[in-house]
Amino acid sequence: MIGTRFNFTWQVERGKIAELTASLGDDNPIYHDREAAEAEGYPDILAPPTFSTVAVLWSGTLFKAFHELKMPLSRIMHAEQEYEYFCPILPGDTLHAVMEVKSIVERKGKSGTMDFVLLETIFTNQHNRQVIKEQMLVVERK
Amino acid sequence: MQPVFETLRVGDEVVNLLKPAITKDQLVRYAGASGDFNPLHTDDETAKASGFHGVIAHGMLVMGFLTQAVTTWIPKRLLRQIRVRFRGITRPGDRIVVTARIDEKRIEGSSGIVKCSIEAVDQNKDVKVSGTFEAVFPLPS
Repeated sequence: MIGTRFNFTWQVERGKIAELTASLGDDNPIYHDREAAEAEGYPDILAPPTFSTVAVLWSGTLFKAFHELKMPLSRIMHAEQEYEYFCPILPGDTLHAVMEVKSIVERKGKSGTMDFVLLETIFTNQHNRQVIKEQMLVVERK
Repeated sequence: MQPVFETLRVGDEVVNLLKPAITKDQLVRYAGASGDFNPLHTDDETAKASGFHGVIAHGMLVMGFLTQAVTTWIPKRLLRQIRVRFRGITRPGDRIVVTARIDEKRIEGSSGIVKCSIEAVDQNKDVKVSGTFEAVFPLPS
């Protein structure tokens, strides 16, 4: 399963950015006020730092990966998360993403066997620029 | 005011964000916003069947608090990388405080790199999420 890739495309909508910042209670104006974002040098409002994970989830890609890996949702915990930022995500962007299963490591502990699965997703925008790389480490309790 | 690289010192506490208590309503909103509909976060019965007292917060909700705190301190464009580990269960009613500290400063070409450690704790100082982030400050030439 290591090296398995999942491709998906995601349209960045203003409304999804607003829903995420509202649920977090993040009132930074660069995420909802175009003038404030322009004053910081952006062409429009931008997506907050954890936004790409919305695409990973809402596109169904993460659940597809769990299904292919035969990992039941009820046994999975999110262990670690990392983002590396290259350029901003803006409303109207079309993101092309590739999720790859980077590693699967089995560890035996006091509470039983666990599989650590590392999923890496690289997002590229419509200008063919890499915008973000995210890595998600999940644990399946066996 | 944007922080200035030259004035930052290793050991400085640079972030301090106190979030209002997490509510069940917020978990439902976050589920809808994020697309994570695992019922562990929205349905008490499911959470109890999994051995919890009731619903627990999405780890990514708390990570969202961390990145909110960071991009309150520095403009988002300076944030190059953030990595966290989820350490403890967060529940409705928990009041999360995010703090960060400068661990390292160095100059790379025309940029000032600042590495920080960051963590989210609850009202009992239990650590929920911890990690590191790196900011890149352009230096005047």
